[in-house]
Amino acid sequence: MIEPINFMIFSSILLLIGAYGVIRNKNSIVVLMSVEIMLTAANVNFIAFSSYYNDLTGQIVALFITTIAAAEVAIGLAILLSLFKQRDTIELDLLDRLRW
Amino acid sequence: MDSSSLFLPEILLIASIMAIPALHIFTENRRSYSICSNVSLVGAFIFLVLSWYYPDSLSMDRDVSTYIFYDHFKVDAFSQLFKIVFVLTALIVSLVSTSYFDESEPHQPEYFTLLLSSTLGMMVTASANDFLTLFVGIEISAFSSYAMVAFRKKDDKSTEAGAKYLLIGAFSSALTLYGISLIYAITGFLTFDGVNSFMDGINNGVVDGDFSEVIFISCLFIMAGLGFKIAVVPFHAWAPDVYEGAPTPVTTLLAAASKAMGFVAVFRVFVFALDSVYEEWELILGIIALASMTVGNLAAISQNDIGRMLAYSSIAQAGYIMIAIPALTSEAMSGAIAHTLVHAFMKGGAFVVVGCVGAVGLGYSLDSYKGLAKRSQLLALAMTVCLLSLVGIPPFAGFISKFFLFYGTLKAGMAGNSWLIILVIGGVLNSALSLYYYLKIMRYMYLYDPEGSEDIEFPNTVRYISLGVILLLAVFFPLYWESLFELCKEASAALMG
Repeated sequence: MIEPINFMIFSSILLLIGAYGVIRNKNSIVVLMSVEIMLTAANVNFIAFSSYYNDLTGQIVALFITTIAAAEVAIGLAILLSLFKQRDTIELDLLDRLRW
Repeated sequence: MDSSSLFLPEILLIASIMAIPALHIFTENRRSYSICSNVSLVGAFIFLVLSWYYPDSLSMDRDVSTYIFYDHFKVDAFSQLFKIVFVLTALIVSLVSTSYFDESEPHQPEYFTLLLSSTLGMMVTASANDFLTLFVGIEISAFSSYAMVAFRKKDDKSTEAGAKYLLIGAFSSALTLYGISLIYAITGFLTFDGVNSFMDGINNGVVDGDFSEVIFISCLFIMAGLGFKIAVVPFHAWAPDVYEGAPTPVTTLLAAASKAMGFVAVFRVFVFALDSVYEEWELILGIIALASMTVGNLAAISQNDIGRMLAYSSIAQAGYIMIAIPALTSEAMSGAIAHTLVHAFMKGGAFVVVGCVGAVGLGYSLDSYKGLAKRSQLLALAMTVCLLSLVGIPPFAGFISKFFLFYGTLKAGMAGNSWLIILVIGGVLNSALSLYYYLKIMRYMYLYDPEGSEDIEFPNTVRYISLGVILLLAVFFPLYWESLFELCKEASAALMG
């Protein structure tokens, strides 16, 4: 039996990696990928504590999150594609037409 | 009747979501899509109102909450009240869209489908009884609104706003989810009742262990995600850009309904599920409330685009509503619910006028409001009523709800939590500050002469809707403020259990 604190440490490291990727990257697709890592961090928590409590709810939640993540990427890529068609770039630094 | 018939409004919307793409196969007539969406929204609205006034025939009890779908879906006075607001706002948006988008606008069936699915997500959120349903509801609504913001594929601003909204939204929903996973990790429950009784157990000493740091961190994560939805400082950066860039009917939906949905989620999570550990989160929420009303009002002063100005004003309004949550009394909560409801109508009404002025080709800068009263007395009056209501000038609806909100919070502050009084004083001072930029629009509308021609034809739908908004905010709510407050009291009693 693995101690639950180890799951927590693992998932928070994943979360930090994902958050670092979102904050530091200039490329929108890499940012979307980093968000996926953050969702995985939550999934790790859900599945680990589902087995710890002997309760299936956490695993069902993990299935839902996987679906939601897939939908998120589908919509995200569609929007980024139409952005790319207009500007030939998806660099986040160049999204500056809406400014005061 | 079986209690699962209470799911009928949602089923109507789902049926229409599937029917509109099917209609697109058979007919190219764009009116058919809007008629289909209007019919389903009106049907859902009628059903919700009937179930409110004749609960017996639907095996619903307004004093006790009804559970369907294995207790994951909760129907009570709180959820029904907000569902009525969501459906009504979506109906207004759907009506306005027909006059906003002209015949040649492509992808209209997709637009109405997304509008309905966004509303469906909000209704699911209002009825959620566990964190998973809440999260899925928020995401259904959010994904549809990402696509709606970026709906005009050829429009540069719309696409940029969509990309920004999507990336920030995805990041903050991941944060919320991590917060929820921490709650699951410590309690082992996902239902609000389970989490609530576990937190009570910590207070009563039934549950061993010290969880205060974990609860604090998870509250921080959940607030970061939900704060994005309600657009409070420091999670507000997307709002001005998106409100400016999105097509105005979509902005109406975001400002009126999506914000109310965020508040529904905040109320359910903080006021019901996590209320017994309020020591962990009350200070964060208080600081956020104070910061967001101050920053919102100060930033709104220097704006030159009407969408951006209203976005900052709606950040400030979110700050006012937030002050009631740390108070945690039933009076303050009913004030917060009342202000959330009225805010949906006043912001929605203001954006309907903005969309109409933009659609006839006058533009979105403040200068385009010069002499609006000479062009259309009705639209200028509707805008004035909405703006005065946003400031909280008596006798308009905004004054009544804001009065309840501040009074309830002040009373809780007098009773014990004296730091709440600071929040109320901040709110009152900020209301005075906000008068400056609202009055600027009014001065432009009434005291200046229009640039260009005076006779511009405004669409009839918008006239009727603005007349309705005037009646609602200036006549109906002020005259029947007691019954409004009764409704909100009932909803807050259902919310706080």
